[in-house]
Amino acid sequence: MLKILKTRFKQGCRTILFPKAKAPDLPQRYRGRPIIAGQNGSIDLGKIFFNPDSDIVYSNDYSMATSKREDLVLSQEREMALARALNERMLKIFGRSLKLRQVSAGGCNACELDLNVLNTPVFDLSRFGIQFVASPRHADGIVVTGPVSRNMREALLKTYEAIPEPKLVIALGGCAISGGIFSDSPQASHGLDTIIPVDLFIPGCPPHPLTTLDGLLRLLGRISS
Amino acid sequence: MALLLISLSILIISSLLILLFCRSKEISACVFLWSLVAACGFGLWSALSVLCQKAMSLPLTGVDFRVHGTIPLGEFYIGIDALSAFFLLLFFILSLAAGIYGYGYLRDYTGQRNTGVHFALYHLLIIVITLVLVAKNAVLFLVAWEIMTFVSYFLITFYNESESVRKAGYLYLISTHVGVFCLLVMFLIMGAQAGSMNFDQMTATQFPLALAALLFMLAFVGFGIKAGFIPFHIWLPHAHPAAPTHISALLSGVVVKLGIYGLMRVMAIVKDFPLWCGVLLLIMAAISGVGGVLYALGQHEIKKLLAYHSIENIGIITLGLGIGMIGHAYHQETVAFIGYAGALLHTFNHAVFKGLLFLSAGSVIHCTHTGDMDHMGGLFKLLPWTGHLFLIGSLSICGLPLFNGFISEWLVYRALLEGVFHLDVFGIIFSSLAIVALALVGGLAALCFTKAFGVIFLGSNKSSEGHQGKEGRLSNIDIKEGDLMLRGPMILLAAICLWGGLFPANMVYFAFQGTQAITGLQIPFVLKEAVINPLLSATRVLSFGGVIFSVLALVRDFLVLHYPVRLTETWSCGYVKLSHRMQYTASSFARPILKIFRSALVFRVEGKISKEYFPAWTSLKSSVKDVSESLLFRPLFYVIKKFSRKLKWIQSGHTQTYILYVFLFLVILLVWKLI
Amino acid sequence: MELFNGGQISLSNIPVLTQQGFRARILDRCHEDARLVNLFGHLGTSGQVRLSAILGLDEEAGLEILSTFISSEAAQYESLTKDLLQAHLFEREIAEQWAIQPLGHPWLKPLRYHCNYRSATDIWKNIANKTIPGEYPFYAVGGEEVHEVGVGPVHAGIIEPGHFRFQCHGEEILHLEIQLGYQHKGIEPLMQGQDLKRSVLLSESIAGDTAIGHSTAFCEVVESLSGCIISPKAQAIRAIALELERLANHIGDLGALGMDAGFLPTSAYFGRMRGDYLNLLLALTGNRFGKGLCRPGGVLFDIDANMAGEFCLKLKKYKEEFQDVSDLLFSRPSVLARFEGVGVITPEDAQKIGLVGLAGRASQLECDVRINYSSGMWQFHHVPISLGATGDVYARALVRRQEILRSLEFLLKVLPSLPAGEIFTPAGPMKPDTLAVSLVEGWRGEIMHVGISDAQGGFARYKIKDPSFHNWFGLAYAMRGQEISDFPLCNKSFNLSYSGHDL
Repeated sequence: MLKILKTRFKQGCRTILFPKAKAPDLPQRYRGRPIIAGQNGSIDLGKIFFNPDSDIVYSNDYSMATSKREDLVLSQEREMALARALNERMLKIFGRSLKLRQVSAGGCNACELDLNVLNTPVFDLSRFGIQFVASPRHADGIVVTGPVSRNMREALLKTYEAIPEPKLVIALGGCAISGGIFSDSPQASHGLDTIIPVDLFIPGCPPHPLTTLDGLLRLLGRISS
Repeated sequence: MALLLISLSILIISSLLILLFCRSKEISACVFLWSLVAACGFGLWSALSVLCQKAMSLPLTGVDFRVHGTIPLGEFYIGIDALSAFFLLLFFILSLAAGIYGYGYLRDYTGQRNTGVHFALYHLLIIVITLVLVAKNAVLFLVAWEIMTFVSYFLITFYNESESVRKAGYLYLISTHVGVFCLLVMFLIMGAQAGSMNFDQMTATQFPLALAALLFMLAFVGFGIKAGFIPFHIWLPHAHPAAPTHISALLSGVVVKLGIYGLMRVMAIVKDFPLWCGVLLLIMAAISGVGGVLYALGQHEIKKLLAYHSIENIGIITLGLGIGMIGHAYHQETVAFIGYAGALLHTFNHAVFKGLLFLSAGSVIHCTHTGDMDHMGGLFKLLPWTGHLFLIGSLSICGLPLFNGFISEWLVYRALLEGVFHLDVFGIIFSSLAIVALALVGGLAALCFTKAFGVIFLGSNKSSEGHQGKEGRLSNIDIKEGDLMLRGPMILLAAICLWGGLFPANMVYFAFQGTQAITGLQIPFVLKEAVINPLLSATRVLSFGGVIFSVLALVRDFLVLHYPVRLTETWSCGYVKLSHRMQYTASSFARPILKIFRSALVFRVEGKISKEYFPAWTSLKSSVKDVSESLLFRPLFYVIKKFSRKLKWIQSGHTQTYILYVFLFLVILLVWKLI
Repeated sequence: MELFNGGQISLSNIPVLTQQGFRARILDRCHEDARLVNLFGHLGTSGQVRLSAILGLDEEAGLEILSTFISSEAAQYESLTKDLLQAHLFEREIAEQWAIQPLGHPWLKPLRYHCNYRSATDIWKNIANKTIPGEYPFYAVGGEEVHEVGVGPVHAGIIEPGHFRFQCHGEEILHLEIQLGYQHKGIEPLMQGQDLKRSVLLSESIAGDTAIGHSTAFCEVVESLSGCIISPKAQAIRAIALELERLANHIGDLGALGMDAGFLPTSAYFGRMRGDYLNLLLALTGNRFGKGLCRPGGVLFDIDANMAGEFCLKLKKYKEEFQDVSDLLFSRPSVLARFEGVGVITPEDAQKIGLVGLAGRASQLECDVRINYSSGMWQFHHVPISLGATGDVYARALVRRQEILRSLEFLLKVLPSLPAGEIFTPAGPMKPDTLAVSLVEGWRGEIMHVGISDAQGGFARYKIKDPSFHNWFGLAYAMRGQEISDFPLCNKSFNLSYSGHDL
């Protein structure tokens, strides 16, 4: 018992203050939102792989989540339109308590792992009233990761069906948004929004936990640009 | 008394009529139904009049009816005292319910047997049981007792085309006859001591303690076999499932209880027993209670499960009797009174809820054509009435508040607690051990009925893989709720369960009346203050809680009335093809507990876990072996069989030899006379 | 024919045996000291399917490769599985990918539910049109008393999809069958294009938690085929990243094990500490899982003296923290009571099943690619092998703890003395019609990539084997006779990859 308390004392409080304070600085090599200036043509955040050996120049900015698929396409002419808060009625229902079910539909498991990270003391997702639950029956929405493989399609639809109305759908990671690196495969689909309506797109391969948290909080109106 | 005689005459006349018209199924059934209602009505009226009218000050009274010299060595002498009246009350309620149910149950029976004969036998059973309950002469009692055994044997073996039914019938007949032998000896001793075979004279006689102990042992074995104490219970789990449902209900509700009645009657006659008799009863009660419920947990067949629960409840009743006897031996009247009253009330309650459970189990079997719980499942939606009624029965048998089982178990607990407070060290030890046993029984019973109710009514049906619809729902439409003739009796019994739980005052008062008849003492004045009032206020608080809960539920229902209800399939982790095997089975549910008690039970699982990397097809079966049946009686019977084979030469089959025996016997008699 | 880790061999030099000879050779060698490391099919020049087997000789650091042809008309051969359990999943995979019937296979069921690669008639009719899981013929224990528990594909936690079917009586598991395939994305065919730039990204997404392990294996195959020798510095950085990946995952697993044993403090601390290592990877590669680091020819990110010093400082602190928390976990009697004796795999079973990696080491198998088939950095820095004795959850937890400490030691030794030099040497074109293999000890165990180049400079066949492919059967087997409540704990102690299995 004393040992547990001693270790607890040594560990201290590690939860970041975000969003009240600025999030901790990400390393300089981190590949966040691409810098569009100097690029010709457009960049689709849902289709790029955030790999270093491409022509894209990345910034350090982690906020990338959007409410609409077309907002992910960056071009010289358009400002980045980050995710907007839900409408008033939805906010009244979900604003203070949002229960999510995650469906892993054919990805590589990186998105799942970094989603799990949100439950660690560092991010402590439950302080925002957001929680991942075991059954879609208890959930207000689903977070889908992976390119929706052919074999997972039915299970995904069943899970979606099992969630009571009204429900939210969040596409997490490049694979869920567009099929990502697997989009050439006949086993993968070309984006979750071609299967079910999506309310929040969080790009990345995988999205940094801050990107996901930022997206969720913007959706709930806790961060406004 | 006159009412009871009317009732008896109705039964006699109508049974003759039924036999007369037994070729016509409709007429005989019709006569049966109406005469049953009338007879039971009069019977109930007579029992209630005795229980209500007689003030607390007049023990052992009742109006007698005697016809001298009608039976050799005895007389036709009957009378109703409060004890008889109490048992008559439960008996007529149950035989009315079971009879109506039987009428509905056998209406669409298309087999070979003549239902008319069955109905006539049913009436005959009512007559003889009534006689057993009101007999005031030992010979009359024994004669009625014997006829009852035979009649119930014929009723049990209704489906006698099946081998197992015939075997169960024989087992019942033989084991109860062993009991009758003990009873015969007991009554002869009593009669010799009192100089009369009438109960009145016997009651007036003072028995020496040693003789009382002997009488107690004889009564314990003789009535214990009927009541189904472990280890004399072996006939019970075989007979109950073999009999038609309404007969099972009557067997478990009444015939078994006659063992208890007999014990109580002996206590009323002999009164003073040595202390160890009470202790022995308490120990056997604890063994029966815990053993019964553990065996019940291991059963796969619903009626067998209920049969073992009868043993468990007999254990609870006997706990009350035992603490009553101990209290009596210590001259602690309150302890004795509450104990006996608890036992009596639980006898009544058990008859009601076990009757209800048997009848609803019968409905389930009627619909599903199987008794194996692991073939059922998902019946709550198909049989809503039966499901709810079975639930009421289950809650009652578990002794939960708002239902009648709670009241009587509370009285038994109360008696044991009084024992802890008022007895010496020896008594305290046994009372507290009995409390532990009772608590264990209660917990295990709740577990067992969670299993039974859950496996039978919840989930999805396990027997209909072929009929299964796309979403795993049952699509066979032949499972239908029974009509009013089947449902009505169950509703009646369920209503009594609730009435007994919500408004216990009357039944507790009746039980105290009966107790007066057993002890021959006045009801101690403190009882009302110390026992009945707290009980009543407790039930009031609990019922109030129940009312609040129901109101809240109704408010909730009202509030969500306008929201659309979305029906989707059960969440199955996104898996596409559900199987009916993906739900807990009765056997699986019970296994963890049985594993804990495996040293006390013979719990066997056939089918080992394969350590092959790619195992071939195996199957698994588990069973609980009845220890007393397989380790006590089977070897005993084996020895008897071997021994009797050695004596076989006596019965040679030659007429000449038999004539020789007769001749030899005459010679012996002559010689004896000459000497 | 002898081969070594990172070696290559011209297709024409691979010995071709008769079917009987092939079978006999594999059985003989595997009943002595060899181990079936890989068995796969690829199209021969004449349109026949060529089965190739790679046997591992752990003692000699050598690999033996042999092959046989299966005629496309008969499309069958005598199954190895009935005599060699290690071949079990490989043969099911071959049956599905190439529509070749292994005769007498005792457990021939679909694996990933896709059409075969040679447009023949599938062994399982219409397999690609079926809704995958409903059609799986699960093993069932007979009797009405047995109940089944079906879990998945959508689980309670945030984990990958798979269906677990338990045959239970009471709480006891009589049999567990694991049916995967939900994550199947067809990575192997996707790898077989000409665009290596795209292929390396795919290799990083074979299993997200093993991005470094798989991309290193991929790069080594390409480097081997193109004759590119990467600089010692690049080798060192790959090794550092691989150990960081191991550290992050092992620590996360210890946290999860604590959680499933019902001891929450350590699970919270370990959960956070896992993030520390991921953040080191982020600082090094710009991605928390190390995606974007390894490329054929070297690595894309350098570690300068500053960064090395900073890493060392942090790692020293992390090591202290780890020791603190792991002492807490391993000194709790309640935790140990849950760990010990649960999910035991005896060394004999482990050897027969062919467990690899930490699950194998927990059952006393001395299998560690870093030691048995050392290449690159591991030739200069030896990491002692960490063995468990009991083969249960406790052993698997203990092996993790030991490996964490040894990885930290390794990092603290390598980081201050990083070799100098370039980090990237561009790889040239690949030799045509050649087969190259590479073995990497990922954090789960032995990763093997086999690449067969075509004449156009791409891959004609690319075969990926994640350690999970060997170990899933071990998990299912370990659960026999256990309580069903032990499953989450046991599952966590293996922590296998669904994606790496399903590809």
